[in-house]
Amino acid sequence: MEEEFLELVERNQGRLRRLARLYASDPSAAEDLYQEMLVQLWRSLPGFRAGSSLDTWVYRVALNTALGQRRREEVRQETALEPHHLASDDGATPHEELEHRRRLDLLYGAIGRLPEVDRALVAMHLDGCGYREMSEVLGLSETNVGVRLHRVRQRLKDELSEDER
Amino acid sequence: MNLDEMSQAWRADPAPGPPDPELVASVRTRAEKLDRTLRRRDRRETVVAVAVSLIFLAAFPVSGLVTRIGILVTVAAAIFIVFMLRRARRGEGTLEPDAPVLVVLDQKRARVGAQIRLLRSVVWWYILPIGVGVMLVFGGGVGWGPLTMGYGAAVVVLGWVVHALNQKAVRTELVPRHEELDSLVRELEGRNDP
Repeated sequence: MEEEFLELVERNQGRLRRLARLYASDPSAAEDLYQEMLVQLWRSLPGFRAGSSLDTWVYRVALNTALGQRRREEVRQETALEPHHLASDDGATPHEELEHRRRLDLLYGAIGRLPEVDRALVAMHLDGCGYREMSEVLGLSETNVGVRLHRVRQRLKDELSEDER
Repeated sequence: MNLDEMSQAWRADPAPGPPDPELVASVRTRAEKLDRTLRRRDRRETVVAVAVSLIFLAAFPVSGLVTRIGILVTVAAAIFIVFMLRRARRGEGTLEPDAPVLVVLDQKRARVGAQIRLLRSVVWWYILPIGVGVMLVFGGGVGWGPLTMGYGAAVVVLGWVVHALNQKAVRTELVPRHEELDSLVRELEGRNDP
């Protein structure tokens, strides 16, 4: 089970960390939430049925952990990125790296201002999930997902254009 | 930023890297600690109920009729309290953390709703049965004079404190939690939409 779990984390740590950051008020809370997601994945792993979609399962456990946590702070604080968010070894110049980080901050800020369920939709959409997968994760119909996502994308675009002005 | 740029920036964050080699040990420790805490909580209630029952039942053979009735009421109350607490925690079905989000949030909301109802009625299933039981035991043992009246007053005050603490927990913790979950479920169902 340990090897399976490590492989699972290796494959999914990016999306788990992104979700944790979206639902936490600061970097330390995001780290706690990420760890909590891992604990829930570990506890649920024996119940995972072969043949089911691993991605759907990971999203369900992660989002159930994130949305099920108590909201102690009403206001999300936009905080500086953690060191592992800053790492870049793709040969980008400092200016490009700074610009990339600025845009990423804007993106997280705009998504973070959305209602909690919409944040999940956008996160999965940006991860490349289809309507069917999103509907299976959230328990909504595909039509409902499509309608909501259309509206949320529009709102996100508006927020980002305002931020970039 | 257009959608492609957004998606690209999003997926590139955070920079990929191998998981911490200590990760499994740390996650396992946290998971085991959580399981232990849950088991201990269930066990503690049973241990208290068994201890109370044994202490009272030990006096049963040497007691008078009223005290015996009091002992039986207290033991029944102790068992009933454990039953009620466990039913409130598990009565709404097992929470599956890998079920669809709407299902899990709805279950959590129902569970918190059950806890609110349970604590609001704490007088009827906790304070009153135990209070009546111990009053009968005490009164049956020492008679129904001023001492028992004083004891009764102390039991009433203690019962009031227990009731007040439970209502405070309902107001400050459970109701806000229920509202949070309700809002999320409504949001998922699209009922918060303008």
